Amino acid sequence: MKNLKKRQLTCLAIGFLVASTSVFAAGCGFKGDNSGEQEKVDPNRKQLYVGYYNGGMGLDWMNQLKYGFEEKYPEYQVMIEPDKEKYSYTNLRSYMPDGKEDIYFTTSIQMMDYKTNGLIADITEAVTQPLTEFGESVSIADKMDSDSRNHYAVTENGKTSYYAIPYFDALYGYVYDVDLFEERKLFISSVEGGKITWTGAENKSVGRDGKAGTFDDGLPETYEQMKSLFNRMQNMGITPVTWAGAYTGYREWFLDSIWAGYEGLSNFKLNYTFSGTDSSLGEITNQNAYLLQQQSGKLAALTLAHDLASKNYASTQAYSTIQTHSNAQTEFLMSREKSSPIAMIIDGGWWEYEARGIFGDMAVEIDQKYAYKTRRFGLMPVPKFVGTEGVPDQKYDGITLYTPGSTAVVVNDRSTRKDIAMKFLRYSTSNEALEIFTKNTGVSRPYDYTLSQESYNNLTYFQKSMWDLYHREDVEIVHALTKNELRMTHQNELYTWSWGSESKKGYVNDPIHTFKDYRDLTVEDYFSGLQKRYSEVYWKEMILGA
Amino acid sequence: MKKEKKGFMQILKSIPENVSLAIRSFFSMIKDLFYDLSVWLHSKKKKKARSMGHFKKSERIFLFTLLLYPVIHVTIFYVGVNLNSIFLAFEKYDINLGKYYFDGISNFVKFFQAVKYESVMKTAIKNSCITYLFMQGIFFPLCVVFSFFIYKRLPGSGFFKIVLFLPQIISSIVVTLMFKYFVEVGVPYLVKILTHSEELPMSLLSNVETRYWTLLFYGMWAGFGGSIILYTGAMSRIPDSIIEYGRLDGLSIWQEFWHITLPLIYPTLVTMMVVSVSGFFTSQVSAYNFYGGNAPPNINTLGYYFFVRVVGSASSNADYPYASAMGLIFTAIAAPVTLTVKWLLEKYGPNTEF
Repeated sequence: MKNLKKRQLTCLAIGFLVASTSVFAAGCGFKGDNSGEQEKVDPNRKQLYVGYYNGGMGLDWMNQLKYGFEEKYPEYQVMIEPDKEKYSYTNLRSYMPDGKEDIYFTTSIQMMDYKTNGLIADITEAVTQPLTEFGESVSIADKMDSDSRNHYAVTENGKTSYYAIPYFDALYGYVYDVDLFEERKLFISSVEGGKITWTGAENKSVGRDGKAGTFDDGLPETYEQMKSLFNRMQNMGITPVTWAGAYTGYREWFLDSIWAGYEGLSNFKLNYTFSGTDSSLGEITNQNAYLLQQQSGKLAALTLAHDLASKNYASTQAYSTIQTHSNAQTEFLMSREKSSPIAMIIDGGWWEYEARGIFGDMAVEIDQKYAYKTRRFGLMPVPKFVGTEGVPDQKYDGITLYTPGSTAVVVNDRSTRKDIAMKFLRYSTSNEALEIFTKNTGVSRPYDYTLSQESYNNLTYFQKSMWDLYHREDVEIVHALTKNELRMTHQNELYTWSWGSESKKGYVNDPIHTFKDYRDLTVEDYFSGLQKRYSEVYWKEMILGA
Repeated sequence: MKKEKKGFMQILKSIPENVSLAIRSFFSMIKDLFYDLSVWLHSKKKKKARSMGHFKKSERIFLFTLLLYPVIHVTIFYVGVNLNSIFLAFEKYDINLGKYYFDGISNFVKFFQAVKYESVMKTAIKNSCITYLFMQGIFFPLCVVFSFFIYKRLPGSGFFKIVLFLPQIISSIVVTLMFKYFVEVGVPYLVKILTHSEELPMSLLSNVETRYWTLLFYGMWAGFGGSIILYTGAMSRIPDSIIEYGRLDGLSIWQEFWHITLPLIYPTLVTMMVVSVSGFFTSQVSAYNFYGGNAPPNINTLGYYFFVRVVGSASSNADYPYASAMGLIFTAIAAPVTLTVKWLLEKYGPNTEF
């Protein structure tokens, strides 16, 4: 009897363990992922295997791309191999030599490293020949935006070659809830003698660009106004912002966008080229690039980081290591129903499409008014730092937007079907394919192309505003890309180039969380620590000397 | 003759006591030496391996195929890899050509410069020391005590067995996730309820004051199972007759632990302590499980620092020579320390065989 009971208990324990493991395994999947459905190989057609980083962009556009390509080239069958971990930077590098995929759409590679290791094929011909087969007279290189072209064109012995092309651009920064701003009167109507008049949907100020009817209407022009906005939110019981506490990168990119916004494209890009002239620091070369740590844009971004942490502008969850990007999106979207809503989220341009499952859940469980495409969001421009204590007044008057990462499309050098891969690569950058991408994801690719009115109308409010912003004449886009040999050779030492600081609290590299951790650490301490981290001696001995 | 014999005995008797003892000791030593020699020769004879000629052809093929895999494995993954690491330590990577070239001792110099200029290295060394001391001073004794607890089947030992072995049975990443949610969500809510606070307190892994100690606790809890298996295994080999003899002599349970169990499992303890020396350079207190490649700098250990250096998102071929040089430096430090620790523990510890 005793043994029977023991056996039953053992069975129960095993059952519990199996069940709990299954629950965890099930938790690894995510809504809308149809990666499990594998298409059968058609023996009558030649196959092309596409390694696709299945992140925030989803699979819908890729499937449409496949069907479009197969319609144009019926003799080929596109086999999409979606995955996330396999195609992330470090994994892809070791996976690629044995990978069966012919072409990859990935989010993070060091092009020169892949090239010198013989992983990626020379795609110069496919990139430089006009796309005539799709009725276009320009080549992929012609369509690329200038900053990307400068990066992806490799010149050796006077000959320019291409080994990769950019995949997508996603602007990064504060995403704000337009409906909430209107409802709670968080827009600025006018500023007179430092006193701000707040408004809802009507009578909004013209914003930083000075033009009415544009993306920045009613939004803070200066950082001081932004602080007033944050304080107003707090007084109204609104939490100003949340973010993905689990990933340092999200916060780093955000602060980079503030720094870039302050410095402008020309100055900021020096951090990736180590060659050129900084408007304040003078001539920058490999020999004295450590001077860039003195850029005032860093001081501006650190001031903002300090305020976010010390004035409790963020939700508590934003500091948690389990606050993933999707948890942050859920917190942000769901908070609308709570008495203390969250007004903004720090995320990239892909966030809304990525969070469509959460919108769907809210529509089903709460109200249809929360469905995808019904709520309105916008990207808040980086305000100008004028009259902020401790920060020199910003000289750059333009609008520079920051896009992180080295997203790329590359062809596997070991592929035996390179000819088909080249055709697919060319098709993927035809106007038709570029439109497929944007109308599905709402994200832009760094090529010159247009959207049909129907496609544009089909975008969400947020996606439309991103598209408009991305294509404004007076906006400069900066890509965090480098080909500088020194940067690439010392990738690990310079990995924390942006925010690595030898502060009085020791080495730190995540300003917002650091200011939360150490309440007595000042902006000045952190800023001087940046220069200590990359001091002249360190630079000469560890970077130039090693 | 009788007279002569008497004379010899008298001579013997006339030899002083200490000289007589020395002579006896000398002969006894020679006798022992011959005995040891005969034992050694005997053992050599017994251990002598059969030559391949004694095996049948089918047996030889069997033995060959049996040994082939481990030999190839060791040749490639131990000899090959380590040889390559040694060469790499003296090389540098040319990012444009994608090739390594000889660069003398620059990687070794770089390490000492990093210690000098990068405070994260100092933090890593400090944390490695704390981790090592924590493991030796708290984890190790607790493991032995819990093992004894389980071995003696004291009340509640079954419960502890399950709790401590669970992390060994379940996938480590699942255990990490469970623990992460427990300390990030469960504990703050618990504290909020207990303190009647309005706001959630900062979680243990987010709080700069608690995150390192939380990881140490996790490392201890998750590592208990494996160590306990070893110790209980060693304890269960102790003959019952010795325990019974002790009990007849009126030994209490703690006296049994101290005077019988500990001395008899001492060889196992020595092995574990010697192995743990290398852990000083490799332990990363599960930081990668919890934070991936972006752990806060204040929880860096040497193990984590160099692990991320090789597999982190910023790593490339250019980092391998430096990491290889680190490996050699660590070996140069760890090898003599390990041998010294082993020698000290064996020389000054109890010498018990059963």
